[in-house]
Amino acid sequence: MRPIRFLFLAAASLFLAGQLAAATRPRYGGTLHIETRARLALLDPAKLPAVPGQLALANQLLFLTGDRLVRFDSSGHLSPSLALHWRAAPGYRDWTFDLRPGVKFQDGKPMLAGDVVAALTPLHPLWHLRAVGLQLTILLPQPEPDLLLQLALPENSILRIGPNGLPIGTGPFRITRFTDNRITLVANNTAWQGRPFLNGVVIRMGRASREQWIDLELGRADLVQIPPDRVHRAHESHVRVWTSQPNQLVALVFDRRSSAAANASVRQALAGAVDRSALRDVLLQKQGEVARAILPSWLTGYSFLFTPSPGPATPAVPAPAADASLPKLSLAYDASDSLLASFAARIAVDARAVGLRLQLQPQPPAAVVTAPADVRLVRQPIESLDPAGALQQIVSALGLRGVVTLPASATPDRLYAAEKALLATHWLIPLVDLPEIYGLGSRVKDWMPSPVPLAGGWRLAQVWKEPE
Amino acid sequence: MRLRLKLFLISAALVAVSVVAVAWSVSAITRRAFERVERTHTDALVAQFEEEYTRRGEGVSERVAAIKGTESVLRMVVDLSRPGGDASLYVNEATPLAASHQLDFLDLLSGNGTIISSASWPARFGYKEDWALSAPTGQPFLHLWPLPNGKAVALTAVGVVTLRGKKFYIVGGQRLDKQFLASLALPRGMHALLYLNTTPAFSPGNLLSPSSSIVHAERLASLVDQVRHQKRPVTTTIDWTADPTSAETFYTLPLSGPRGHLLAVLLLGNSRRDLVLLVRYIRLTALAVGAASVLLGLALSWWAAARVARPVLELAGGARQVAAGRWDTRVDVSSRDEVGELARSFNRMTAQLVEQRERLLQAERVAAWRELARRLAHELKNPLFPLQITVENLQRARQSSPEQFDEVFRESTGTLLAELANLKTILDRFGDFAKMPAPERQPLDLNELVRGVVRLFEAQFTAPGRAPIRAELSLDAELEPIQADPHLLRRAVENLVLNALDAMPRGGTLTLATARRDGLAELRVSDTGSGLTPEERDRLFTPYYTTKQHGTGLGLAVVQSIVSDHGGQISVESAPDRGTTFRVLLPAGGREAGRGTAAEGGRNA
Repeated sequence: MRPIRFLFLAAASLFLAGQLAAATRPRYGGTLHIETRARLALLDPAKLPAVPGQLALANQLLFLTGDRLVRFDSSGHLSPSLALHWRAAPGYRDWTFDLRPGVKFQDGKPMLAGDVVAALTPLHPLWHLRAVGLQLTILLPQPEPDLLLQLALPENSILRIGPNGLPIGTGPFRITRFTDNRITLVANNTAWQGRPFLNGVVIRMGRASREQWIDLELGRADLVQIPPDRVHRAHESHVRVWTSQPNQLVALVFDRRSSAAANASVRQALAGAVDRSALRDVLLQKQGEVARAILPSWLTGYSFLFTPSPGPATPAVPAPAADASLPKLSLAYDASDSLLASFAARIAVDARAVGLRLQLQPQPPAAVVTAPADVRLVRQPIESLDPAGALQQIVSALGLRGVVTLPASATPDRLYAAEKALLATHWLIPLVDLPEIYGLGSRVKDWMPSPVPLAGGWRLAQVWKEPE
Repeated sequence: MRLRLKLFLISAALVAVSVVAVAWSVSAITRRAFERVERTHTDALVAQFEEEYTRRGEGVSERVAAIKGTESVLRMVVDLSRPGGDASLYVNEATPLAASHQLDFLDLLSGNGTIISSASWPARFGYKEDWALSAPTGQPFLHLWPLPNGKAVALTAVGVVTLRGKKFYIVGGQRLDKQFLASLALPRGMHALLYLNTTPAFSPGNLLSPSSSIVHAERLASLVDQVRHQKRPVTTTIDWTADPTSAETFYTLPLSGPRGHLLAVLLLGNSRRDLVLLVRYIRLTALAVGAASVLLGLALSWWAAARVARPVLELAGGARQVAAGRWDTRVDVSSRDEVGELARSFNRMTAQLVEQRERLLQAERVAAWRELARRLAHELKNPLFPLQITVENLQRARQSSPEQFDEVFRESTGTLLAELANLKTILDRFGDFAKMPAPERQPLDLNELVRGVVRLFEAQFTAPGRAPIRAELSLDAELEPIQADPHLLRRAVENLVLNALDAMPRGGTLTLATARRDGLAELRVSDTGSGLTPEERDRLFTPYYTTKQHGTGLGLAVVQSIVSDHGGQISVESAPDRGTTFRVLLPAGGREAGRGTAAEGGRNA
């Protein structure tokens, strides 16, 4: 080859390489447009919503706007955040934290230990918090070996409420506007972790799945929620899909006040009738996992020990013989949740195969818990990274306190026994574990959220957006 | 019932029967005509329904065939016919296909009948519908579709797609609903209902109507149950309310599936309102016409009856006059028909009666004179013969025994005087009878009079030389005084008692009884003598008739005359060897008993 051509080729190669390098390099700027189905009215760590969708969004906002004393790193280990060091006295009741110096709130005010006390006290009235300079002492009413797990949760974000009622934290983004259908966040230029790449984030709330999908396709949205039954279509459309670890349990919960539900045969019959595989394979399009236990496998690691759920609800299924005296049952569920609606319809079909008649009662989201129904179909988010704490929360949230005695300590064997005992009563019938599924616009780069949303959320601080 | 009334009733009945017969005939003819029209309408409606049913069925078949050729179905078939094909990807395929092809039901089934996707019941994926594997393909049929909250009946068609030896079934259906019924063009007064046989027992909620909800739908329960049981058309009439105009005649058409199960019943109702109103109108008209006819018939029959009855009534009146004794009655009827002939015969008859009565009277007079003469001759002869003998004895004595003539003269003159007194007595009796005085009425106690007469004859009851006679009194103490002449009536009672005594020469019982009968005073005088023969009884009251050797034969005639003059009546009851009873009826308080004598044979007193 002649030298000039070689030089030209070399120059062209270098130019192209440079262009490619430029294309993968994070850039500052841009606004990330996110759309969600849930709608939040306010953000207050002390008043987190109970509706799973709203709670998930609230947690994401807490991760965006605030920091915790500790956090999970990308490998899932607890690492310092607002607290640099910590130590626990023997007995795990007395904890001391050394706070990170130089941290400022988004309004420029320095963060002190007193701010941490002020933030955590409403959330934990029984804790005795004391601040001295940048040192925080927490005296617990009972031993908490896994206090750090708890402190890493978004509900323990260190926030103040500003004069305009909006929360002020130390996180990478600050809420500048909060309306009934839109939340606007701007980058925190003084974030102690560094300014995020994005200039801002706009979250449009209350968007239906179809609208989100259209906006994603049209480029009006960068991050949308994708229902499980559309994942296949998203793949066909070459949309990037990200799925988290299952962090929601979909389950049937019998009302202990119901006389019909008091019949153990009824509960057992329904537990054996539901075809979980059909729910997961068809209605969820193989997204999520069949729930063998109450807690997901990634949290406990022992769910495989539980008996696999029965096969399809056909006459071949060895379900309990249908008792002619089995009563009708009313099944309540969130009418606004199309997934639960399809689950309920399928469960009713499966129940009919064993002689049970389910009367479906769609309810407004806030009325599902209080509606007079024999059984409820619910989504129960995993609200703790501590298995024992998660089990406690699920049992408490689903009104199952006292059904079994939950262990005070979190040893796996005792936890397993407690779960097994609870499942044997059939007051709670786990069905599937649901993940969060998002579709990403093609311009969204470095999307690396926490696989367990509760452990870190979207992590938008490192996300950047390719210019058009 | 009077003749005129009879004639009126007969003519009124004839008119009424005629009107009723006409009204019934018209009603029956009208009803049959209505039923014919109703049948025609029903047949036309059934034909229209069947045509629409067939058309819709063909429409469903065409839609199913169209769905078979859609890209989505072909893609699904291609994908699932390969090994490892994932049916879960197509769980929502049926709903948009059904909507785009205007089908209410659409199931996509795999080769073994497993539901891949269901538009009407999406949650049933994975379950089997084995019936589709043996269902007729390409031809529409009626099928019962299961739904989450019940069942529905739909016109259904099955299509089959085969690829790589694997079959896939496309089952589509259109619901039989109100819109289907609304598509039928119904004549006035008719309406169509559709009963969906989706529950074991009749349920009003399964009854579809294109218009508003059906009131009293449960009244159709028995009709529907009949069809469900018999599985063939049934016709019946339903009364929705107590008002007959609300009635409807229903014709039913059972609709079955391919296996013969009854899935729906078409009910075609035809209002009977017009018929009922028309029949009612006919009846009212008939009633009005009948009433007018009856009134007209009343007038006509009254006039006709008058014309017919008058001569009959005159004849009847004439007969009454004749019966009352006015034999010279004549009837004035001048018509030339049978009634006139009857009247003329009546007049001839009465003229003959009068003539015969005159002759009879004359003959009776003659007979009476002859009898009187005979009697006189007989009565007078008795005393005259001794007179003659006595005079002859005097003549002989004067001639033959002058010395005995004085004695003979004394005896003879005594005999002559006695016989002359006897003659005078006889003549007095005749004279008394001839000049019987009119009664001088005054209040009289009949019981006391009877007692007085009995006392008078007491001595005779037990007179020596005769068998004793026992007298019995049975007097009504409540008998009121009567208006009568005490002397005449006493004489009559005495004559009766004398007659009874004469009838018992060998003794017996004399019974006198009084009583009140029908406002009259009754006196009964009974004896236990030998009784009377019928001939004697008939002539008993004839003057100068007697059965005794002695006597004038005037006693009972006097009694009869006295009773008759008092406005009373006397009768006799007697039979041979059974005694005789005289029964006298006298008016009480001025009322007359009726004149005349009645001889009653064969009865004892």
